[in-house]
Amino acid sequence: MRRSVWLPVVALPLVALVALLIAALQPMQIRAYALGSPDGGQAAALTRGQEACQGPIRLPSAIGGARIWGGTATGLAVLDVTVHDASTGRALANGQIIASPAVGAYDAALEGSAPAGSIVRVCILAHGPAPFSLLGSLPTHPEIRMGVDGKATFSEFSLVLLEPSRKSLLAALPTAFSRAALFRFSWVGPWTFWVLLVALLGTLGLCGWAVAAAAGADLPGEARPEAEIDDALPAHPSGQAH
Amino acid sequence: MPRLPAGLAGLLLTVVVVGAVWALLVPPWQTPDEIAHYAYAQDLAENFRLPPRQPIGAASAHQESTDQGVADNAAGASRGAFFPQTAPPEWDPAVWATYRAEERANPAPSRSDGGGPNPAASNPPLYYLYADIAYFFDYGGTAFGRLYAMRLWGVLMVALNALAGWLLAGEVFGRRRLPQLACGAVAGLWPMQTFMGASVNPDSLMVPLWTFAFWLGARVIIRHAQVRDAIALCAVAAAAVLTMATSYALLPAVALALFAGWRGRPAEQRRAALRQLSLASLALVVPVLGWLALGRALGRSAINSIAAGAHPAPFNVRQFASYVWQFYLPRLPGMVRFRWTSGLPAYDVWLKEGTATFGWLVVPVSAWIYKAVAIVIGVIGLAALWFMAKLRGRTALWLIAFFALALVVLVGGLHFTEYRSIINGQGHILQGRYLLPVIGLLGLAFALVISRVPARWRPGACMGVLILLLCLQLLSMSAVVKAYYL
Repeated sequence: MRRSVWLPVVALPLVALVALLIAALQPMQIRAYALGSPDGGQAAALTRGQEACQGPIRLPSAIGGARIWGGTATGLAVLDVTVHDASTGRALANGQIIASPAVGAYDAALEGSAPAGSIVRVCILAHGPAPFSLLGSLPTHPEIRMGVDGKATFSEFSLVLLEPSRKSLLAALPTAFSRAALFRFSWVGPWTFWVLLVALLGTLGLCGWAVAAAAGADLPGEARPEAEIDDALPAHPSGQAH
Repeated sequence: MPRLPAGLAGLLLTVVVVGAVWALLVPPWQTPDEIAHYAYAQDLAENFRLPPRQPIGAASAHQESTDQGVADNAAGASRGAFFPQTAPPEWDPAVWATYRAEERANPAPSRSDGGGPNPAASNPPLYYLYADIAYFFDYGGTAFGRLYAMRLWGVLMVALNALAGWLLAGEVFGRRRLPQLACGAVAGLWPMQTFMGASVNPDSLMVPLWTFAFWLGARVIIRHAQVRDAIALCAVAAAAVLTMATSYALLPAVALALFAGWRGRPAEQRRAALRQLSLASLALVVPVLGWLALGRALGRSAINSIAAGAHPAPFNVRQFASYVWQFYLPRLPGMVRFRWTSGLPAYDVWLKEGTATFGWLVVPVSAWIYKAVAIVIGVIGLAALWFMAKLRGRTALWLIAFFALALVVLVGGLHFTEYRSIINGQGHILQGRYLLPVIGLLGLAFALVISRVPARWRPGACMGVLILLLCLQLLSMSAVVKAYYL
């Protein structure tokens, strides 16, 4: 095989593989739990001193952070996020958020320990100065209640709880595949996605093979190796296969 | 029997693998309008009837059957459609187990009690009939089995689109495998195309039909309207119209191709050819008129229509021109704002949504990827225009006119429809995926440039295109994994 063929066919997939590997090793926050309430509307407007709480929530794994959605109209708002034991009310972990007028997701890194299996309530206490618009939706879970200053509300705030440590995409793939395996064909499991991943990486080689084969077929000696569109046209009416 | 070229075989295998990953990776009903399209297909399969657009009489049927509704609720599909970060698909294995127990219960949730008003009702039934073949593959399974069987069945369409791209470049440039490979790769591995092709959506069928129409139109022009080519072109155009009303935009280009092919005949053959081509055009006219008549008989609109809002405004040419200007160029002082996007609508809609914005158009990739794609498309587009400007042959000019007419009518029709929607108070309707029917032309631009690269650099250039497409695919899939599962 000519050097102008095998070099790109071998080198480009390898370069791509290394680049993709580097990208897949960047650390990121992984969601341990998502309540499932869309951030499509306002669940509560928290002014200074007001507290919104939501629970009970059973933690599927240990957590190290909490993510809520919202923003202020103008200025900043300081919010305390506390995870309480749902039965005793004891604070298990807490953190802080400084929110701005940019509406979006805000993460609080939690200090303390909220182990897997705990049943908790998550509370957001506003310290002002600006009111904070906490986003959420109508209740989606009959067993989970939201309240503001102890009064029940007919809403839920959007809530995601984060794993204690950041992970790379590569390290998080087992989690992703076990989640993706639900609600598919009955025979699909995490193994299916591992097989597909291997096949997907195999396509880098497959494309190399396809290019090498195509380049081989286009070698000098072909009928119209340098055909221009115009030049190529008269040859067609003969009905050559493509 | 002709042997499949190895390059094409490698490409098709790649497309099938990538398509299968998309089909299985994306959570249930998390592609644009998939809930409505699945409901349409299910009602057609179960009751062999077309869904209404509006409620009929006092009937209170829902769009989704109980079977679909139970599955949708269990997976949190509708709830999280636009909110993958806050409401990702259900991750709890206990909920999946509960759902399966409910499915096995006696009686199982009904599959045939849907058929209520459906926003997809104006679509002709061809795609849904195709998808319904796969509906029965896992008929005894769950709603998810049926949904994913239909998605995997769509992968065949993605592969056919790649094949059509290969054939298109082969027709235009001759039997030159590297440009053909590049064209087929763009048609089959463009992330948005693979994502949409492997979802339950009529785009899945419409896009390959357009690419086949480009191939056949090129054949008709180059080979001077051989009758079997003309019949095939008309039949494919009819199939496209019976798939989505958007495909009416293809018809002027089809007419132009037939005319150009006919003009290419020697003068003494033209009279006889006219009769033959008139008969060939029945392959287009009869099915389309049949569908229009059926739509009329059933009281259905056979084309997509914009409902008048509370305060409909008349069409204004200056205003329309202003709207189009603002779509592609910065707004000038004094122009009334028509669209609200963070950047230029052409970039935000055509490029970002047309390349890689997944789910219900809420899962983007990193901003730098769009910029890189814009640069690549810009360079390829300019180079392709440069090479086209140097073409002087009559056939080449007919080909350019054919492709350009299809593109201009599609884009013009989309803008006209959106403008009417806006002035009727119905809001913006354009999405980047609406340009996918002309993905074959983008592939052709790549193929043209590769065909002009010096021969020793051509394999590297072609490999570069394929690797960039695969990297784009992998980065897109990782964005989907992060949005829905991590």
